[in-house]
Formats: sequence, C-alpha cells, structure tokens
Amino acid sequence: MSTTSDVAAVPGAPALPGRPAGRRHDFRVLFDRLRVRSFSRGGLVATVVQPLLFLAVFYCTFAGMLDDQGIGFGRFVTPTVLVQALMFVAIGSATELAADRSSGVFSRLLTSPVDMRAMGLAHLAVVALQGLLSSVAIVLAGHLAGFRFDHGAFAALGFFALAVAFTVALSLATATIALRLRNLEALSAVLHLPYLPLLVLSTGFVEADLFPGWLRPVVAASPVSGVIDALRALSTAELTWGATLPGLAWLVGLLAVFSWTTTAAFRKVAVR
Amino acid sequence: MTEAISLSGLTKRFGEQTALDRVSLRIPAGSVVGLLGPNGAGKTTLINCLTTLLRPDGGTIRVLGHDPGSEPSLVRANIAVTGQFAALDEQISPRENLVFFGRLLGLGRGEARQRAGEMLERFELGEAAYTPVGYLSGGMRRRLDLAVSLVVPRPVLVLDEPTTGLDPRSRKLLWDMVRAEAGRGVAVLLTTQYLEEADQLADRVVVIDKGRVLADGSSDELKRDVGGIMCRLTMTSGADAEAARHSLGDLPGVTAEGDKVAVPMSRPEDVAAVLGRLDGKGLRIADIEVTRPTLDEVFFALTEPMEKEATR
Repeated sequence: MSTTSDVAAVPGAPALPGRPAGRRHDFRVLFDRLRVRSFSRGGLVATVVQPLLFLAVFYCTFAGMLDDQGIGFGRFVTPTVLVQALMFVAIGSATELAADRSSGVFSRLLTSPVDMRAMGLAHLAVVALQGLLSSVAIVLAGHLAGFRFDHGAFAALGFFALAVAFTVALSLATATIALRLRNLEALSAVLHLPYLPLLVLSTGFVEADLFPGWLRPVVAASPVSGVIDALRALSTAELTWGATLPGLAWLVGLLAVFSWTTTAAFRKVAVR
Repeated sequence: MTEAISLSGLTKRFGEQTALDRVSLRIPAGSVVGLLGPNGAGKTTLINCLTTLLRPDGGTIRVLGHDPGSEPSLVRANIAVTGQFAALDEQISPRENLVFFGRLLGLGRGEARQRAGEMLERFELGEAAYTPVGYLSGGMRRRLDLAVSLVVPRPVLVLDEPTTGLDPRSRKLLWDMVRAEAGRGVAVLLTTQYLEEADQLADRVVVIDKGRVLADGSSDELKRDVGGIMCRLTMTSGADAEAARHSLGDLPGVTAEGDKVAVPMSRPEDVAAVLGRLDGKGLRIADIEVTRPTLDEVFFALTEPMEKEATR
C-alpha cells in the first residue's frame, strides 16, 4: 500500500448532497475575506496614508495662498482631499475585483453555491467601510489644519453618510468597468483617466467663478463639484438646501444608474 | 447504481460555431469518466455547461437530479470543480484560502480551520501554509487548488485537465486522490489530453472532437479499436518512410510522417512480420519502438474512417 494514497485520501463518510448555506452566511464569509485584504498593510496605504500625504502636501503648497484670500485651508480643502481619497477607494475596489476575475477566484465563486447578491453586497460593504475609514482619517487630520463641523452632530453624521454613499456610487461605476474589461492594463488606464479631469474641473480647489467662462458650466454641473459643495455645506459653509441638493441629486442618480449597469455586467459575466 | 451526472443531447453554439453537438454522457456515483479530446474539442465548454457557467442551447443536464438552469445553487452545492488554471486568492495564504472556501461551503469558522489544517497536511503544503499564494510554485498552486476543491466533500468532482503542467509527484498525488474520491462514492469527470491518465484512472473514456462524441468505452476497448500495440519505425529518410508505408499499405491504420512510420498491431509478435515485409527492399531503419498507441493515434484511428467516408 503506497503512503501517498493514504496522504491523498480525504477521510470521512461519503459526500452527502449539499445545500447552499444562505445569503447571510455567504455575505459574512465574503465580507471577511475582502475586509482582511483591504485592511492589510497595502490596503491601508491606499485608504489612509495616501490621502493624508495629499492633505499634507496641499497644506504646505496652498495654505498660505488661500489664507491671503481670506479662505481657511482646512475648511475649504479637506472635503476635496476626501473626495479624491474616495475616488481612489473606488479605483482600488475595481482593481481587487479584476484581480479576482483574473486569478479565477471569481469563476470558483460562480461555481460555488454562493448567493450572487451576497457577492455584490459584500463588495459594496467593504467599499463603504473603506470610505468611512478614509473619511474619519481625513477629518481628524483636517482638524489639525482647521477643519471643523459647525452645524452639530446631525450635520456631521450627514457628512459621513454622504461620503460613504459617494464611495459606493463611484465603486459601482468602477465595478461595471472591471466586469466589462478583461484586460488588466486597459482597466487601470480607463479607471485612472477620468480621475484628474473630474477633480480639477470642479469646485474642489477653486471657486467656479474663477474658471474661464466657457468652463464654468462644466464645473458648476460636475458631480464632483456637487458632492464637494454638499460636504462643505454639511461641515463649515452655510448649510442650505440649495448647497446640498445638487450633490444629493447626483448621488441618487449615480447610485441608480450604476447599480443597474453593475447588475447587468455581473449577469453577463455570471451566466453566458 | 445512481446516476450522479447525466447529459443528454447537450448542444452549445457560439455564433456560427457548434461547440457541443448533441453530447450524451452518464456518470454513475463512484465511477471515473475520462473525457478525452484535443484542444478545442469542446471539453471545457461541456464542463462550463455542467458547472452552471454556461447556459446550453439544447439538451438536458442533471446533476443528482438537479437542473443547472433552474436550480443552479443546488448544482453548485454538489459539484467540486477544479479548472485548467488554479483559481485561488493570490494575496492570502493557502490556509486562508482553505478556510475561506470551506466557510463558503457551509463550514463554521472553527470547523473550517480544522479542515484547512488537515488538507494542508494531506496535500503536503504544510511548509507553505502561511506564504501568500502568489509566491508559491506552480505545482504547489495546483495541489492547493485541488485541496480547495475538496475542502468540503461533495458527491460530484469535475477536473478540467488537472495534470497539465504538473510535476510527476503532484500527478501521482492527484491520481491517488481521484481514486480515493471515487472509492468513497464520488462521481468523477476528468478531462485530459493524455491517454495514460485516462488509462490509469477512468472506468470509462469518452472521446470527443469538434463537439461530437466519437467513442465511449473502457480504455481497453478504445485501444482495441486502434490496434492494441503500435510499432514505430524511424527510417533514415522521409523517402524511405514513404516507401515503407507503401509496402505496408494493406495493413490497417499505417501512417507516415517525416521519417517516422507508425504501424498498429494486435500482438507484439507481429513486429517480426512487419520487419520481414520490409526486408530486402533496401530500406534503412534507424530505430524501432514498440509501444501502446498515443492519444493522437487513437484519435487518428477514430476520426480517419469518418474523413474517408466524407471524401468518398
């Protein structure tokens, strides 16, 4: 009798017909794996260290300039750095998704009795958690640079909720792309392409009035401007419906459109 | 015996191309069926249909009585699949992969950890238990891939070219594992390009090409169809090989390619008769080898009559 045969044999009774474990169980297991991966050292660099570095660099470069114009750096730029960080979270989450596709883990999940909705929900839940972590880290660091919540606890909660919802909306957009594109290099290029124009052509660093006339409508209508303005309104600027509505409207629209596109892209990948 | 897998009239098209053409196949519990065919024969398409990754255009599939189309999660709960390429999370360790997939298949956290430990030991991966999978060698990854597929025993095991690119030790481990699984009553479907593998493992071999089943039987039956033994002559030139083929032309299945001639025989003793017929013709033989037929030859023998018929 060969020893390898003993080694290879899987003990136990004959395999019994299996049943799926259920959505809640699946969600917990899938969430745990993604959470561990995202909160590893590499993951934390992207969600926490990098945005803090950006904040520090911006502070050194722009703080004096903005002060001369009577604008408080911390109050004005912290929401911008936050939005930028959330964009990176969304790009990172799509890269993780693409890695799962190219490593075959995705196929293995699709041939396992895993609840498909749990797969999507776990992905978004981890994204939301990363968004929240980024937000807390940036708000704390922004505090040192003068960022404050002027409108009380509810507005502050609204600030974090908005940030998290924006992360989820962006991640749905990037997930659609990751599910559609097979080529990893092309994916990285496509994901990074819109990031800079979206951020620069917004009210993130400069008020809309200071852009050239022909760019003003673009800047004013940008979803990034909308969300940054809403975050400012919920923290330090004047808290009015007028300041928050465009951002909220964008969020609802983005969530609706990209939930649909992601679901469609997922279906196409899952069953051909 | 209970049928674990039954396919009947399975058809799948990709645009104009028919990848599977009315394929029927039955695998009882506790038996191993080898699906043999060249690249592009439709093996992986068949597996993808069976494992719910592809929706067939026609025919029926039943896995323990469940239809992948209407009850995909019940089918998935009962099939363990190992694809052509290792499907593992490369950023985490083998142990974490095993725990993750074990939990996903319904094990509790503690149970999954214990099971992971057992599998690491059985598949000789103990040393690499905590190394991220991305750093492991190809052979280790394939072994881990199998361990992950078997972390929770299921009644059906599907292996898509499991030993392609595997070192001999890992191959032996895999073969022993397949036998052990079948011994426990698991129905095993494995695709392969190697006759030897089908020979070693399969109770029944199904040969497919261009989406159609060409033969279905035990590997002995298959080889009998071709001629049990193959005499391979290496001549000193292509011209000599062609002349030798001509001289042996009335024997069934004789082929020549380059300076090589292959002659199917039913008994090793026939080699004397073959050589006798070449004697005195001024042909120079560089090498003689008497072996069992390769997949190519089984294949050639199976497809040749069809092609001849088609050209007639």
